[in-house]
Amino acid sequence: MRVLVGVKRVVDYAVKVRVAADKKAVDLANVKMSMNPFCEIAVEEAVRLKEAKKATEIIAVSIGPKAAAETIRTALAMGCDRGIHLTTDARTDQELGPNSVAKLLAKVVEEESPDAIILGKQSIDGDFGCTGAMLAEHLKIPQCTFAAAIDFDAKTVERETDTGTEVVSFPSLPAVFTADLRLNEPRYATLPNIMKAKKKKIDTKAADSLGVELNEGNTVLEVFEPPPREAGIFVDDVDGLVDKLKNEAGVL
Amino acid sequence: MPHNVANARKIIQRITKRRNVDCLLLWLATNELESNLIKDLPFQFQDPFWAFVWPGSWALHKFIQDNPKVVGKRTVLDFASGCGLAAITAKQNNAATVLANDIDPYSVLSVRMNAALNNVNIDTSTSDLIGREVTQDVILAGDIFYEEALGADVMKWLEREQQVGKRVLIGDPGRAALPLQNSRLQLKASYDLPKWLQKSNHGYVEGKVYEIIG
Repeated sequence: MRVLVGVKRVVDYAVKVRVAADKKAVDLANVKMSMNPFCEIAVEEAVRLKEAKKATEIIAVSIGPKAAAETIRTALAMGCDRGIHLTTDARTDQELGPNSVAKLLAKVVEEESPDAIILGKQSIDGDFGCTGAMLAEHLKIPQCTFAAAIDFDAKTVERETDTGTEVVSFPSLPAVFTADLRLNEPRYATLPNIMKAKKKKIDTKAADSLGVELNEGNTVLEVFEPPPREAGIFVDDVDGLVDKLKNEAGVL
Repeated sequence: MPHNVANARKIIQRITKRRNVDCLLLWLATNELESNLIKDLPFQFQDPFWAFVWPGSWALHKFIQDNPKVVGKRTVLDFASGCGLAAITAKQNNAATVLANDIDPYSVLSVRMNAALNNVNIDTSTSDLIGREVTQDVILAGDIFYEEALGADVMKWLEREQQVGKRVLIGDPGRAALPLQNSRLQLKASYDLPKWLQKSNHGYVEGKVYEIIG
């Protein structure tokens, strides 16, 4: 089995983002970037498949600026075998949306014909959460989203829902899987692995050379910070609490 | 190269005692050199790929320990020798002579230090041997199939060397560029990689030894 994983370069999850002065986007100047946490989980799942001798090759794909090559290197250091970098100057957090990404990934899948495509369930910048589903739709292959566990022998996926998890079966491979938080705990790329990853190959080509129309059909009008949370109040006694819950919050 | 000698010493301890080493200083030194903080080097300093044990070379090292006759009284070439693990093991198992070859001069320096620390005599060379006829009886090639184009060149060369009577052994952990479909590759042995080696080679759990036959 050959596995393709998508890895996205995003603002590091620990960074407190700021809105740019023109209110058109989040400010990316001098901000620490790293691999989208859900993509890390996708990579980890693929590497575990390789270590369990179920996968023979893992290809890590990233779409983004020059610096996205670092994200691919991280994936290679985690255990992927080679990388494909589709370069673009478009902002991948809002200009290049999930449908464009899905169309680009579909091109790569057609070229590489992997048996499983594992993506993160969403990226923590755009938060769309639909690239995986759109990719499966473009390719007309099965999709199992929000995976908490994947069993390739039984062809089942335990997936996260609002009320717990459900187990679904997928009819065949190739299929698209998207990784949710509980799928696994990703490993760190250690120094020897980071260094050895430099010997692994990354193919680079321009995203707009694939003959895919990159147009989302929507544009970002304004980006603003959420209103600050108002301070809480202390109530004197239980009756006061019940009164507030009943008459102000309206939850009783 | 302020960290070189001390680290080489630690590295051989890693080979002989299998201890974890902090290679951070080396890494930082490399980055420093790469960013041109230190200029006018006589040659380009590359990442210290020789500072780690590679899983394919480790598999060759195990195979030689299990099958010392393969190298006994024979002349041996360790191609792309890295830290020299396979070369040193061959010499320890009574190879007549061993030539460790790597195009990185620092690799060759580390092989010489590691050989000295293990009290064996290893010859070294930094020539690019791919495509050239060599004089040794046995060729060891560990972890060379990490990239398709290079792997194809190396395979073509090794196949030709085997045709003129050399014994060619390849150590590999399952890299995608190893041409498994090639019917002249015969699996000789398969070893589970020890945990410490798995940790520094994410994605690999086995080291295999192949021989070119036919």
